[in-house]
Amino acid sequence: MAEVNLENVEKRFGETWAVAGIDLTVHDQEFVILVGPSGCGKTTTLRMIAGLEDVSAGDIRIGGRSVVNLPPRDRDIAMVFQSYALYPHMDVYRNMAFSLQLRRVPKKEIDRRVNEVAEILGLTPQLKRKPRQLSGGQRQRVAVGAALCRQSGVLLFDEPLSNLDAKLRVHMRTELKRLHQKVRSTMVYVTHDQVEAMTMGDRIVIMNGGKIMQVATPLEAYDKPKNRFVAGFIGTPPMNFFSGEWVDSKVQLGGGVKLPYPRSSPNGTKSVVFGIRPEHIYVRPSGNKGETAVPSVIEVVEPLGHDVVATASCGAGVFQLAAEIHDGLKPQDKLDLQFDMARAYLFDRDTECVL
Amino acid sequence: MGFWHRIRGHVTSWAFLVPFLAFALFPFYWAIITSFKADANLYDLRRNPFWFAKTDAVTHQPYHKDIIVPASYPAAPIHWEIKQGDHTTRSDSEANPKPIARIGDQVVYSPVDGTLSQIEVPEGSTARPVDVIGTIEVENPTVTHYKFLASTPFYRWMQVSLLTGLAVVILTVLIAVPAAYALARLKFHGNRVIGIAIFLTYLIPPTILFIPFSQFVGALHVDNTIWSLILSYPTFTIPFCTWLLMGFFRSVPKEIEERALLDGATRMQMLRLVVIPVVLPGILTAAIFAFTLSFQEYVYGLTFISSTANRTLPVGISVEMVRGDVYFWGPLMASAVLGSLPVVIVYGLSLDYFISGMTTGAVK
Repeated sequence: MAEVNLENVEKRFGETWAVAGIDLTVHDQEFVILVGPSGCGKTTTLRMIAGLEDVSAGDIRIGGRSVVNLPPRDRDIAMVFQSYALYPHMDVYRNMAFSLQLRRVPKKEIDRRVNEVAEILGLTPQLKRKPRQLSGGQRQRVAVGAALCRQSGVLLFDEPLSNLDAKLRVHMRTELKRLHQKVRSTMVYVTHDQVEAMTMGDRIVIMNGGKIMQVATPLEAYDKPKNRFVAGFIGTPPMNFFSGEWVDSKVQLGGGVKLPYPRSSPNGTKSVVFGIRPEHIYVRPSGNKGETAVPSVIEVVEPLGHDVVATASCGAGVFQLAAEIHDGLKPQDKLDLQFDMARAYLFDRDTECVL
Repeated sequence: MGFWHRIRGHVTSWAFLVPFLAFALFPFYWAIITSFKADANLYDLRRNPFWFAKTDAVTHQPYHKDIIVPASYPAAPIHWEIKQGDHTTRSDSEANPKPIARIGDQVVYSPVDGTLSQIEVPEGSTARPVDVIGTIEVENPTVTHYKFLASTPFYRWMQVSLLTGLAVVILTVLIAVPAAYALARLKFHGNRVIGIAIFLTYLIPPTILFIPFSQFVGALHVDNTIWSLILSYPTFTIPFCTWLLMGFFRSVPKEIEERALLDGATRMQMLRLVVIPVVLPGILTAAIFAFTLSFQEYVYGLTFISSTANRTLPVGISVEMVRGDVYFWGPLMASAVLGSLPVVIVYGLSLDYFISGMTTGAVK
């Protein structure tokens, strides 16, 4: 059992708050992703779990045991660093066996585990090589392998894929997911890439400014963002935002654009931010209820293959929409775009919370 | 296109390199050829600093060396003889040189086992001490100067220098490595100031420090012993090597230290198993610098040591091989060449370490 509990954990560097009091429970064998922009405190949180940073306040428990006063080596964790952190003077075998040798695991057992992990990761031919003789992808796998050999309860990943090229990154994403299903360790994974977060995590923790903005499954984070930050962070291309006023079940945006907003909302007038994802703006009516036509002009079209990201403008401002290449959008096209109001969001302009 | 285009890069780099090489290597060239030149060639000014010559620049005669009646021989006129067949023989081995001339019952040997040209002394003539009784064609190049060193305490000085260097290296590495790691990695109050202060101590010249140091040396009763040097040399090797090593320790990726801690290492294990092996090229570099610095040190060696037998090589050479204003250039240069050999050997053996970047592959 390796459940990780964070209770009101804080981290201060002098006067600045890196982590401003977070609570989080990572269940046993869960794959949790900490995601957020740089400087949001996700890496600091991970390093506090690892014991590489002291906590300024709060408590961290691993498997029910408080670890804030334990050195890293006694926390039953292994970590994969962004830069891989391989020992340059040791070959791949020793890199993977090092932690076991320090723990005086019997030689036979070390041999068995290293060979097993090397087999899983396809590193068997490289066992006698030094890190400098390996490609970036191989080094990355050695780093993961070294962490796996430990068979620790918790595995921590600090942006392990960010130094790989795009193609390899997609491949390793799948590999890591498969690996998690195989080893069933608790995994905490830090990334700034929301695609990585969405594709890999059982749950994702979206952080900003040292605070947790939302903890949710990928689907929840996409469908039910708690606030404007999460809504804008999750999804590519990002959600479009317009500021406006909510008056009598209608959202009034700039330029005289008026949209009916069907969901129950506070009464009276309120300053709001209206948000809608590019993929919920349609080129032609689908017949769904709650669609509203907004006269717009296409400005830029960026074909990605089957999908096209188009930038358009309406009276309320500039926004992006996702279309298909066969929709035949061209710059300067004037047309009524359908806003799917059933899938749009309203945020309080002051608190930025969803209404 | 074609030839010039292809070699243009080489031409440019050699154009930059050649002046540097000429500047850096010329002293070595001069020292080496001087150490092998026969004196006659060496003092033939028009032949200096050029390659070995066979003939005198003015007379165009082969270089000769006079054979002189030893000064130790009784001053009175003496009868001497050359036995037939002696004067043109060449000594076949050093162990059994053939006599080339006899003065009374004393035998004058060929001073070098080179070719013997002529001894033109009429039978029955008399010769006094320091009289020239013949000439001998000199061997050029020659190893005479190197052989001469065996009759001086040269090898003793070499031993003292090597021993001092080795002890200083060990002491320096033992102290500088932990100090440099602490200054480079550990966060404590004032580590920047201490780092700079350590470097500043290196900048104070030994010519200022040797007087106060001699007080310490006297108080410790180590004057005129090798210990006075072993204890005083680290005062400049440790600051220098600490400063040098700080850079190497800083270049060790922090992540591999952190990973070692996570892998279950204590701080000492992390240092011993991860950090030290990774900075080994740096430690080797520091050791070589410490050795070179102590090997070439002059002021402390000159002032703390007074007996000939305990001198270091640079001091011994300059004190014992220069008499008044007479410089024994041949032996001086021979000892300079031999004296630079240990450093050359040490550098040569560790060249691979300097060149190979050991940390490649650690991160990214």
